[in-house]
Amino acid sequence: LLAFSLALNGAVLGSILLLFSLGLTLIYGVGRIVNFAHGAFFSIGALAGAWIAGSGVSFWLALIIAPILVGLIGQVLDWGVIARIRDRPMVDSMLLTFGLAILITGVLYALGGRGVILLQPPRSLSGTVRIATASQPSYRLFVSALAVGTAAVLLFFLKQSSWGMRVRAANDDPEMGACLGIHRGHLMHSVVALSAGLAALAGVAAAPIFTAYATVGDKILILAFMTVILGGLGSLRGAIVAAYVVGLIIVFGEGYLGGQAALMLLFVLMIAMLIRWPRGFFGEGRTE
Amino acid sequence: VSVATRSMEQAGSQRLTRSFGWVGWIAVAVGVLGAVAPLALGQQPFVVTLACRALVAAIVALSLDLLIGNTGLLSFGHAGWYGLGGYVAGLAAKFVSAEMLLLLPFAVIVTAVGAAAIGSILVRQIGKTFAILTLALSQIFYSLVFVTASWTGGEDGLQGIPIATLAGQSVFSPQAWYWLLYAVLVAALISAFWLRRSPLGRAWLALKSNPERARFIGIPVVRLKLLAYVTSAAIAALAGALYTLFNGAVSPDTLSWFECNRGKIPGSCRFWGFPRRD
Repeated sequence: LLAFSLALNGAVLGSILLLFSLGLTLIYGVGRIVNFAHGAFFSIGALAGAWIAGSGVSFWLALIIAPILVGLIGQVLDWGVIARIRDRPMVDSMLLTFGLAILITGVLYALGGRGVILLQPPRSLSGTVRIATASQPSYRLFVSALAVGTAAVLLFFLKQSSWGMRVRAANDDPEMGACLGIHRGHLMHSVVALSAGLAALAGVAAAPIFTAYATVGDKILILAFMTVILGGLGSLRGAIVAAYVVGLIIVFGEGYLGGQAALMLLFVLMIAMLIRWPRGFFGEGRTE
Repeated sequence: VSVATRSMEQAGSQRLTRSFGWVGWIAVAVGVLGAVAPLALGQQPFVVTLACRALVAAIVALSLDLLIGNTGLLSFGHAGWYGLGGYVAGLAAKFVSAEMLLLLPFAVIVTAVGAAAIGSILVRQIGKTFAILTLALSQIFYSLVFVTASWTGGEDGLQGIPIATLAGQSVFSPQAWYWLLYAVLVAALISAFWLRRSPLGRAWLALKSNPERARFIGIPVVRLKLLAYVTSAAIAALAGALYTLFNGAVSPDTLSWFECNRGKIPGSCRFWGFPRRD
């Protein structure tokens, strides 16, 4: 009984992680940048959503406005800052995004993100739903459905649209892509904007569960890094599976071993995985 | 070939002696100025205390530079080793002895063993994975404090650490701490310079600039990376242990990757690590 309800919670956490780490994977795949600022996008999304909804606007509108806002911020950051170091060694981009994360956190602190804000879920979703033997708040089911739906739409676009083809080409073989006339710099603007928007969407959607404060994205970022490593850096399929694996491990670990031990369990598993399968679940990850 | 090498070596050593000419003297002058600073600031304990914190930060920055600047391994998780050293020293001071001559080596050895065990897996990873894993590692240490809250005090931090003694003399005035930390910093700085000029330092630089080639000319890449990682973690732990004893308490914040790396990552870049891409 406990196991079933934990599994449901794990699926919810996994869905949020999925939404979050797809963007992380895309940025890495197209730009070869490990984006340490991704957690900050999540935090902006959560706080912006809470503020917008707090100013009397409906929750649904906040769920739409905040990701668009953060997407724009992401686009501006990529155009103004990240694009400037495109061809520099990997170390530089890591330090840069790490610095961006600290800067954004500082700005959020200055704007009043020090305290914890609780975003109320909309009234229509404040009840609970019984599934078999376990009852779940219906808002959590909505978040899972939203995440899965968004991820499905994103994957569909990646498969079918011309933008998606270019992204996949740049992801699989940047040099060949460049020869075919794919401008990686321009593509990166849209990829970063989209990924930031997805992170913010995850942030707003998760705000009624995780609450909103300036560093809410940090823990998610760590989990998402675990996710992309387990799935293999740059592998979309791997990230999808790994998001749920991480979500389940964390929730079961918290349920049976206590809150903080779960993270350690995950870390040990990840080290074991890296020794045995360094390229992730599907063997698609990069090790260069 | 050997003649050419020798003349290059001569040129190199001439350059070194010449550069000692004024850069070295300025360094010595700054060093002396730093050593006598607390005499002038004797009436302002706050400034001296602040300077002590800065010295600890400088030691951590130095340890990071030893790793990043020498081998190019980017660690975002040094807060973990810093905090581990701090907690080990704090717990040992509380329950065993407050003698620094015992405490500091103990904290350093415990950290070195831990860093060797975990590092032997980490340094085999490529740059990105290494950076991410070190970040996760510091988060693990952070959660470890809460798991063992009955020992470490959890959220409240470890409190009631006795005043540390150095060879039987208790050290508590800010000035005394300043000189102690300053001595450690200068010693670490000199040994870092010395290391960089030693064959080991050259080998580190080689595997930073071209790991494949370094492997082909017979440098044991993994072992040297591990050595750099362990040394660096040990120095960070030393800084953490000193800070805990100086502060009289240690809180989980010291382990938080965000709070702790804030000042240190930029510090280590501006030092002599990154600009020198040879």
